[in-house]
Formats: sequence, structure tokens, C-alpha cells
Amino acid sequence: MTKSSNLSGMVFNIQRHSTEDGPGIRTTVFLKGCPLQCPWCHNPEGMKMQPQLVWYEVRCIGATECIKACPKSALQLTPEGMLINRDACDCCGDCVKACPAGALEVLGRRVTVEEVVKEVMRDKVFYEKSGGGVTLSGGEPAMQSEFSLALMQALHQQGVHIILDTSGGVSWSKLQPLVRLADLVLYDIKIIDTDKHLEYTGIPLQIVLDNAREIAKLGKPMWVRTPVVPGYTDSEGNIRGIARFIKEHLPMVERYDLLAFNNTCSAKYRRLGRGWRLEGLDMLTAEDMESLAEAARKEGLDFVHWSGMVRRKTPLEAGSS
Amino acid sequence: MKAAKVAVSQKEGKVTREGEYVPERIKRMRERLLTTTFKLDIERAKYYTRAYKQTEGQPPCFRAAKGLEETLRNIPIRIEDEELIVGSKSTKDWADPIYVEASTGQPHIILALSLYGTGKSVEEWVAEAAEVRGGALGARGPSFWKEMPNISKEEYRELKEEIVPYWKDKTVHVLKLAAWRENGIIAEDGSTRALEGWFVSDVPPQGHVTVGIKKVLDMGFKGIARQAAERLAAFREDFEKGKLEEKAYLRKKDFLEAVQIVSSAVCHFAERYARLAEEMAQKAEGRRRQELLEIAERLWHVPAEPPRNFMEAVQAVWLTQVVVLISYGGNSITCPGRVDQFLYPYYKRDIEAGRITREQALEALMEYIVKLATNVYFGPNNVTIGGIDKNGEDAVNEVSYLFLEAHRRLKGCGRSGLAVRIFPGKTPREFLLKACEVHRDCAGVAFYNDDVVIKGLLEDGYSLEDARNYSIVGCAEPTGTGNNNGYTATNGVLLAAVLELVLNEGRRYPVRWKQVAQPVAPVSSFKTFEDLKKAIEEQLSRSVEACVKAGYLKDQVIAEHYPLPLLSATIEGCVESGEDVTRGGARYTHSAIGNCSLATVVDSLAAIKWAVFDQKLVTMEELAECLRNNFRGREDLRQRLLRAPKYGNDDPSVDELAVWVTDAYNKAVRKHRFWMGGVHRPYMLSSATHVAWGATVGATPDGRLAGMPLSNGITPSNGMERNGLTAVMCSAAKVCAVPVSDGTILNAIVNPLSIKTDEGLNKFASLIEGYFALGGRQVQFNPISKEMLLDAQEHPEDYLDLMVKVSGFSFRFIDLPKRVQDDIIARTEFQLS
Ligand code: SF4
Ligand code: SF4
Repeated sequence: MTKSSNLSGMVFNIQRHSTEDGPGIRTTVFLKGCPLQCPWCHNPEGMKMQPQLVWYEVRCIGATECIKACPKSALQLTPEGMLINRDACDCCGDCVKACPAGALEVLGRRVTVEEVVKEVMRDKVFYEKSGGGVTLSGGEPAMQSEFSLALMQALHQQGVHIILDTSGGVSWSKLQPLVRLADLVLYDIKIIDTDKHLEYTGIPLQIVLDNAREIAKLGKPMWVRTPVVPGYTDSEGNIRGIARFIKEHLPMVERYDLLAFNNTCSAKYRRLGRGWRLEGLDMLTAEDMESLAEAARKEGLDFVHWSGMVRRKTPLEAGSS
Repeated sequence: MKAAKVAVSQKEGKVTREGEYVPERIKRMRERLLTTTFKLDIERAKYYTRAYKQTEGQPPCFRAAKGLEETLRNIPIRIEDEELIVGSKSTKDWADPIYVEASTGQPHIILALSLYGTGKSVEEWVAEAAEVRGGALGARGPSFWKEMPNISKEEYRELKEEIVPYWKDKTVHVLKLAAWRENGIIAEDGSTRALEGWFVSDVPPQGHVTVGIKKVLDMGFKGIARQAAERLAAFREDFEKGKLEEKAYLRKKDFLEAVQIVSSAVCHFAERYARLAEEMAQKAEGRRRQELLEIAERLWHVPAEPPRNFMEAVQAVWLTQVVVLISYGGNSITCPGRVDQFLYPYYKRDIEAGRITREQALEALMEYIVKLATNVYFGPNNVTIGGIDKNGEDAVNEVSYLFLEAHRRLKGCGRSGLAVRIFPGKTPREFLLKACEVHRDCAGVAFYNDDVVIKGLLEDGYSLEDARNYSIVGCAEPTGTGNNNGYTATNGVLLAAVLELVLNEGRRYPVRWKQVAQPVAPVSSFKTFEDLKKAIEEQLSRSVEACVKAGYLKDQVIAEHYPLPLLSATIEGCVESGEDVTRGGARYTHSAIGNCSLATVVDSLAAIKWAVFDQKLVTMEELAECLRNNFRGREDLRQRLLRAPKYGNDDPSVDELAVWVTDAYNKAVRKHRFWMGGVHRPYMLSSATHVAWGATVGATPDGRLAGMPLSNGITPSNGMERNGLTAVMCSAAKVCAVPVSDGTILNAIVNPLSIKTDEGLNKFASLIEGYFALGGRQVQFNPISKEMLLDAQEHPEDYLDLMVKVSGFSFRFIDLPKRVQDDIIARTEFQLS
């Protein structure tokens, strides 16, 4: 192994048998840290670069071993649940070890390239059989560009199909080397309106669109994805706008995916000690998704798919259609 | 140097959905099956009793043959308006003939006798003594048995006064217990030594075979009778020349004469149907009249003679299974084998001659599948399809596809299912995809890896040709096709009980920690993990030995008293050797010792290793004490144990233990030769038994509480797989490397939503291919989601056709006892995507 195999990165999950992140059966490596601040983020534990302590209410048996174990006195068990003083906590993990019930967990662990490669190669045979491979996701893999690059190089050596799943919200100089090593880029374009993009994600739209054009110039195959969030990204205009951009500027796009919003991640926000703006937001129906996909197709794209959880129509909606 | 790209492009096979059409007549049959309840049919028991009374003192094969003859001559028969293929074990819409020779303590009989005329329901009866009576019903809940007391006064009288009193002291069960008592297998207090962790069931006493259907198609029963007559003449000559001892000659004579009696009884039974069809035709009009005449024409010909066309072949396949099931009585498990292979030549000829259309053939198979489903209340009568032929070539044919299509369109109405053989690299991916597609609509399909299965059969003594021609019997047991008596799943050892004995110095939970066995070593003597492993090996070896001995004694009872001349007539080797299958007449004879609860035991060992020997959280004695107290006051310890490393996560340190346990058990089993010759083969499957047996095992070191379900097959413990299904498969494949050749079951769940698209379906197929590439033997999926099952518990009426595969059985979900339902729901936590 080379020196770069000792490089380490901050990873919050390595998910085997992931079937929603590109072709075939894949393992997805989730890296911590993201430049965007999308309110609908499904992996809020990927936003911050630093590890974060979480407490699982359902598992806690009230043993309070954790409190005794904490050198920083950062924990307090209240009737409302475990209070974590996040300023004091340095994620040393002593409480995690002390808890008999596994009710505490530090999200984010430092792992070396070598360790990740070893882990992901365990499913090699499934990649071979399915035409799958490894997906780097997050967070934003380019936020840990050095580590991501080393990891991709190592995976390349193994002959594995690599996908870079990026939000595009970083400088091209950071993104470019990663894109070059990827076999396929999953690329998020969420909102085509300049003001709203900045308002919701905290990043100028221009960066995202410029990077997309650069990737196209390199001739990399891309799958563009849009999270469809009611009230945020689900207008027909938005979807058509994105589709038009793809049609005009991104000839390498093989697929445009619309991902239906769901609210299963609200517990994650709670555990991270944050409220969630989208709590209680309703899901979309299959009909909603299908008509958006149709709208995109009208812009001349013949590779539009939609997926994700949907709700059934209410009797009222069903009656009116 | 950069290695070649592993993955070039995504696999993109397409599956075209053929259609949904199910003919009205089939729909009605299916509907009737799904809405009816299981009933009691005493007809077989009545005629067997009559025949046995009349033949006291005669040789055993003769008596068995007379019992069958009397039955086939007299039981009422019926042809339904919808039927084109006829023959049934009972005129009641869903009932099994009672195999009264096995035991008079079967649930049907007990329920009928205790409840008839009392007005009490089965539920009430169970509730009165829940602990004892719940167990008596086996894997089915009271709702399943509720019709048992609804019999006529005459049926009740016959059962109570004629049938049961006659058999009381003659059943396999009673004679087996007597033999056990004589041989010290029953303890002084009357309890069997089964508490030592083994079981030898008498219901079904045997079963678990593939019927020799191919032989019937090739020769017809008339041909078989001629063959028996010829063999008998040859043996007579040998005997007269002094080449054969008198005793052996008389035994062979008894058998071969019995074969002739049963063969002509079967022919006569078919003729009864032919005559009935003709009578009905007289009164019928138009198309139905024609159909009835055709039915008659077929039954005048088969199964007496070889079939002349596809429809006759289907009729012969079906009727052969029916009569074998009648000869066996209910709940035996007799599989038809590779029906796609049997039928294909007839199909091909008829299609080429324009005598039949593909749609007609599909319809016939649908009818056959519905019939298979009515055929069993318990045992799976899986049809085996696909795989390779005797020469090692791909054997998938059009009929294989038709079976998948028929099964899917019927939404697996079956309590039976399809065993799909896949030879990696030889079986077309299109066929695998088609089998995967079935899961969009229903369960009932299991996948087998030909490569691994065939190797196992070779090791067990099968010739290469016969190994390649294997079929699946029962839940998941590979055996030869129509050439063996495999006893594949009636005897076994409960691993968790073995562990319990070791950790408690020979004491067991179900008898309030009374001593039931000599301890192999005191718990305090386990200074290292190796000491513990050694003790387990020793206890395992003892339990297996007891099981082998008990099984042998039972087999003797059956061979002496209840041979199976009809089954034997169809099985290669029996007529040739002049010996019944119960005496080793088949070309291959072997037995099996199974087990249950692998993951529970492996997780327990991993937890002990971690908590006692590595982390030193607790001593061996303390832990054993905690288990006896069901972790009372030590929830903290239990929680820690629950988080110890677990099987099913591709964790080498645990998987190593899984392989060790499997290997130790394999060795303990294979050490014993089967008394008829052949091997004892190990298996790891469990029907709903992991739930029932769970109730008899105290708390385990993996953190499981007393009485809770055990793990099933080689599946990880519920909810303990945390790394996804590929990791489960990596772990399970390691276990499959041990020659557990009598079968393993890996249960998984596929969310039907995730396979709606072609892309999802391809990923699903690749998952199976990956498992097989790793050396996995078998895997089966329930296409269900948790929400769906919870809803089914609440609104059973909306889920009449929801079938789930529990072990090799497909059960109607709403028929399962609540505990088993809950267990399945717990399993669905873990989904494909
Ligand atoms: S140690 Fe674990 S179980 Fe106990 S209070 Fe802390 S988090 Fe809860
Ligand atoms: S991770 Fe360390 S600092 Fe943070 S709460 Fe736990 S013990 Fe205290």
C-alpha cells in the first residue's frame, strides 16, 4: 500500500447493499461535511465535518452509566430526554462505551483509505454480478477532497466501478480531480431559480451550473437528480427549467431522476439536537411524481425516472381527478 | 497497473409481463380453496381399519396393500364442474385422509373426539389448558382446526368406536414408545429423553420423498405390475435353486405381490373416475359433455398405461401423487419432483402436432398447481423446475417457464411452491429473472444453487447423473428423483437445547431446571473458551447418538408393521430388489438429522466469548445463573449481550464460530452410518418449529429471553443483521461450505416496491447470483413489507391469499398463530432497500 492508503477521512456510514445510488448493487461511503444547507437534507448527520454524539431514546434504559463516564459532564438525563451539552462534548466516546444499551453513538469515525477499501471490497462479487460498485456520497465528498481522491485512486486500482455523488457546491479545482476518476457522476441540481437556490442551499446557483458544464466538457457520464420537495422544488417550472438546462448544456447526461421527498428522517434531526423546518410536511402522490416526470420529458428528455416513497391520494383528491 | 474494470455495465435483462388472465373455472377453484377451512375426513381410516381387522396375522406388505385396495375401491369420489384434471384424496373440499397407523393422538382426532357435540370451540378448548393444548396443534393456530368437530354423528361414532379403539395399541407412536422403553430411551419418570435435545417424530412417520412419477409415466401401473410379477418369478427360481433363503424369499414375495395388488387397485381407482365421468357426460350438454368424455378417455388410459399426450401426462402426474398420498394418509410429504422435465416431451410433441396451444398448457398447469395446494394441509409439495439435466446441460424448457407463469398468475395460491434450480453460468439469466418477477406478486419460490447441491449429493454417494437429476423434497431437501428413500426431515437435534444442557449441567428450562442428562462437565470447569467448545461437542455428540438410536427403533417399527408398497412400486430399485423402501429397497437410502437455531447458538457463543473471556464482564457461573433467572434484575447485562458481535454481519470472528458449530454438528451426524446403509445427512431448516421450540428453551447468552423464538434455518437472529443483505449472504455462504447436504434455508425479505422496475428486478437477480457465486446453497424471499403484515393482522379478510414462506412451507399468513405472525413481522424489519 502506498502512503496515501494511510490517509484518513471522516465517514459516517458505509452502507452495503445499497440499491438506490446508481447502477447495480453498490456500497455507499458517506463522508461528513457539506457546503450546502438544504432544509430538506436527508442525511443531516452529513452536514457537519465533525463527529456528533446522538442519543436513541427508544434504546435507553435509564442506566445513567453514561453520565458517570463522561469526563466533561456533558450529559444530563431529563424528563424530556438526554440533554447533550454539545459545546462541552468532544465526542471522546467514553459514554458510548459505558452505555450497556447502545443508546449513544458517535456519528462519524476516522477511517483510513485502506480500511475503507477493505470494507467495501467484501461485496466485490455482488458488484461483478450486478454491474455495481462503490459510490462516494455524503455530505459532499469534495469537502474531504484529499481523502476522497486517495480513496478513489485505491478503488480504481481494484478495478471497481466508482460513482461520485456530488452536490456540485464546491470549487472546480477541488471537484475536478475527483470527477476525472469517477466512472459516473451523480449530480444534484435542486433549484433552477437563482435567488431561491441561494436562499435554500446557501450556495450560488452559478457554481453548481458551471461545475455541471465542466463535467460535461470532460465527457463524464452523468445522472442528474432532483429531490422533489413540496413547496420547495416541486413546481413544474422548476423541473422543466432543470430539464431544459440538461437538454441544452449537458449532453453526457444518461438519466434524470426525480426523488420523492419523505419525512422519515425527522428523528435524525431530533437526535442531532436540531429542529427540522420540514417536520410534518406531507409526501407527494405517485400522480404528482408522474406528472413532474412528464413535464421533464416534454423538454425533450427521454430518460426521466422517478422513485421514492409516495402517499396515497386522499379520497378528496381521488374524487376530483 | 490498473486492473481491468470489474463492472462494465449494469445488467439489464428484461422481463415482459405476460398477462394476468386466469380462466374463470380456475378462479373459482382457487377461490374455493382460499375461503374454505380444513376438514376432517375419516374415510381412509375407516377402510384401512376394516382391512387390517380382516388381515390379522398376514404379512405386512399384504396388509398395507389390502388397506389401500379397500380404500381406493370404496372412498367416495367426485368430479367438480370446473375440473378437467380429476382425482382427489377426499370429497370434502379441503381435507386430508387420516394416517391413523401413525398415531391416534393427532390433532384432527383429538379435536374431533374431545369437542364433537360439546358446542365448545377449538379456541375455548385451547384456552382452558393453553400450555399443553396449544402445543398439540403444531404449527397451526386454532382457527385452522376449527372445523374438526363438525362431523356427522356416524363419522363420530365410527371414529370413536371402531377406528381409535382398534389402533390404540398398534400405532407407530405406541410401538415406538414401547421400543424406546425397552431400550432405555425413556426415563424412569416416563418422560422421553427428548429433553436431551433431540426429536424423532412419528407424524409424518416418514414421507419426505419424491414419488417415482417418471417411472409411472414410462411404464404405467400395468407395466409396474408386470415387472413385479417377473421379479417374483425370478426370485422363486432363486429360492427353488437354493440361492435365496426362505425368509428373504417370503419377504420379497409378500412385497412383490403387494405391488401387484396396489398397482391394480390404482388402475381400478382411475377407472372409477372414468366411469363417473361417462355417467356425468350422459347428463351434461354441449362443451361440458365433451370435456367429461375426454376426462373419461384419459382415465381409461392413465396411469395404467403411459400417457399419449400432454393432458394425459398431467393427469397421470397428478393422480399418481394423489394415490401415494392416500396410501400414506394425510400430512406425509411426498413431492412430485422435476415435473417440468417429465412433461416437456409431451408438451413438445403436442405443440408440434398442433394438438395443444401454449395457453391450454398454461391453464392445465394452473389447475395442477391449485390441486397441489388443496393437497396438503401441512407439508410442502414443491415442484422442482429448471437446473441441468443428467448430462450437465441446461434443462430449462418451456414448461419450466409455464410453471413460473402459472404460479405468478395464481398469486401463489399454493401451500406448496416451486423449487427453482439455478446452475450458475448454465441456467439462462432470463429464467432467473422470470423467477424473480414472481415476487412482484407473491411468494412461494425458493432458489437452489445446482453447483453446491450436486456436489453435496455426490459426497452422499449419488452417481453424477443421479445427482444432476435431483429434486427438492419437503422444505428444502435435495434428494435423487424417484430413486430413494431419504427420510429427509423427521429426526433432529435442537442446538439451543444442547447449549442449555452444557450451561446448566444437564438441567433444562421446560422442566423447571430439573436434571435431565448427565452433565458433560461442570460450568465452573470452563476455564477457556476452548473448554466450553469441547463440552458442546461432547453433548452434541451424545444428543445426536440418542437421536440416531431412537430413529432406528422407530424405523424398525415401520419396516415391520407399516411398509409402503405403493410408494415402493414407483421408486427405482424396490421392485428390482424385491424390497420395500422401508427396508432399504430403493437405489439410494439415507437418513437425516436436522437442527434448528444455528444463529441463536452462534450468537450465544460469540456473546460468551466476548463477555466472559475477552471483556470479563461476567463469569461463566454468573452468566448461567442469570440465564436461569431469565435476566431478572440484569437487564443491563442482557443489553450488553445483545450488542455483542452477531452472526449475519460478515464479521469473520463470528462467522468462524458459525462454521465451527456447523462443522461439529456435521461431524457428529456423519459419524453414524444409517442402519439400512447410506449416510446420515445434516440439515438446517425449521418450519414454524423455531417458534414452537423457542417456547421450550430458556434465556440464551445472546440476550434472547426465555420462551422467545429461536433463529430459523441458517438465517441470522431477528433484527441482528445490521450490515445489509449482502453481508448476511457472505456469512451464510460460509456456513454453506460445510456439507449440510440435506438442506439449508436462508430466509430473506424483498420489498415488492423495490422490484417494480426492470432495474430493481435485475438487482434482485444479481443478488441471488452473488450469493450463489459465494457458495450459497439455497435462498428464499418473502415479498412483503412490515406495514402489509400489520395490516393483515388487523384485517385478515383482505388478505385471504397472502402467502408467506416459513421455512419450506408456504403458509397462508392469516392461518398462522399470532406468535409465528409476530416472528415474521420482526423479520421484515430488515428489507432489501
Ligand atoms: S448509559 Fe445508556 S441507557 Fe443509561 S442513561 Fe445513558 S444512554 Fe441511557
Ligand atoms: S462523547 Fe465524551 S465528551 Fe461527549 S458526552 Fe460522551 S463522554 Fe462526554
